[in-house]
Amino acid sequence: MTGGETGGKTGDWWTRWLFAPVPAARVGWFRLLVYAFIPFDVLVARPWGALHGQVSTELYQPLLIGRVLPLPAPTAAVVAVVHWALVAASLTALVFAARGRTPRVLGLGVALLYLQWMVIAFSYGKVDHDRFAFISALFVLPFAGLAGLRDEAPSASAGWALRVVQIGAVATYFFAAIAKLRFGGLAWLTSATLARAIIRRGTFLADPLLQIPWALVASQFFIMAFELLSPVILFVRERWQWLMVAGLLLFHLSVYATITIIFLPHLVCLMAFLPLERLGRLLPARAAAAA
Amino acid sequence: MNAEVGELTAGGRKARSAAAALLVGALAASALVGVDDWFPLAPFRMYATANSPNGEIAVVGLEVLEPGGDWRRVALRPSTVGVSVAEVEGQLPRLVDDPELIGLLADAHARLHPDAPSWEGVRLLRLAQPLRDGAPEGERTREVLAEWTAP
Repeated sequence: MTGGETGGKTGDWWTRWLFAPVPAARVGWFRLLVYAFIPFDVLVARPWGALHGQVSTELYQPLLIGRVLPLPAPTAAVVAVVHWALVAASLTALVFAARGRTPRVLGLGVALLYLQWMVIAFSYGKVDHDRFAFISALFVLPFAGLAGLRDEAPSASAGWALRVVQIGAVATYFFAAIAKLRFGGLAWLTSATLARAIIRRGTFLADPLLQIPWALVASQFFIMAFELLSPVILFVRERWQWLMVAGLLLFHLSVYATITIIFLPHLVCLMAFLPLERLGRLLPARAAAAA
Repeated sequence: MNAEVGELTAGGRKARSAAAALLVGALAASALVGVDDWFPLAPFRMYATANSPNGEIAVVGLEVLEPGGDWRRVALRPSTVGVSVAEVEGQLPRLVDDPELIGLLADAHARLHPDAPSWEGVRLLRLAQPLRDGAPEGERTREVLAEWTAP
């Protein structure tokens, strides 16, 4: 299974790790999730992106990619066109994904439209950091190869695509810890940062925690430790990965319960660690023949 | 089509390997020297700054003047003015320097809620909760940062 190009032991290891084959259906199901998530994200989870069309373009301060790419200023008409083009393109990609394919032009089209949607969403003074892995996924999935929903044959291109998504998901934690050390320094650990989060957007579940500052500081130590250690999940056996994903889901749910922040596109990407191909075994026989 | 079923050609493998390496390199570099403007790259700086346990926690609020009424607080969120608290805070220096821009929030409100009374004035507030040893203590303070009234 090794490629023709090897650069000594490190190169061998990298190639084996990056292209470790997974059942093709795993990436097939993952694509289905990703393309189904986009209409949900745009229409239900974050409808406020579309509201930027009602805001004066004088408040539009384009991100670097928005200045480098020749993107029009988001007037109401531009926002509406991108909005519905993105929904239509992702639904089309969803239909293809259900048939086990993602044509490259279509997949890259969805990725670029989503990126433009992000420029519209995040060029008004605030960027969110919950979707690096998701954006990476949109760019690699068109190159994951054929992946029927019941096709459990091992695939190196599927393994590569999911590996890249996993790297993106882990990077979201690991580099968040690096950012804390860079901007907050070691003082972050004993700071009142979680108190700030709760004062600004705490729920009734979180408010009592404000009176127990040591618990918030302990949580900060915990967050820093788990974010710095997060790359471990990339190198352990599958069963450990599943357990760790369960732990991460619990973490995100408790963050949501306390400060109503949820990293939805990131949670979709955590599914890249799971044996999604097993869903194919639940398909009725007729659908299986179609897939 | 053979390369499509998961068996990669040497070239396909090389390109994918380079793409993955580039991704990791770009992430690491942007984490160390990047800024938010580099989205979607790092730094991933949500809640990355350190607040002093004996400082104060500030948030920007919104007050508006309706015809024939008094100034009243309204929620600063996308459904009212098209932008969120964090977005207004991200552009705060600009908005304070040029209060005409705050008037744009009244325009956005009028477009989003055409049947509601139009705003004749908009104020940005700084609301701050003092902390002592990491816990809230004392009353919130309120300060007007900038004000716009319809000409």
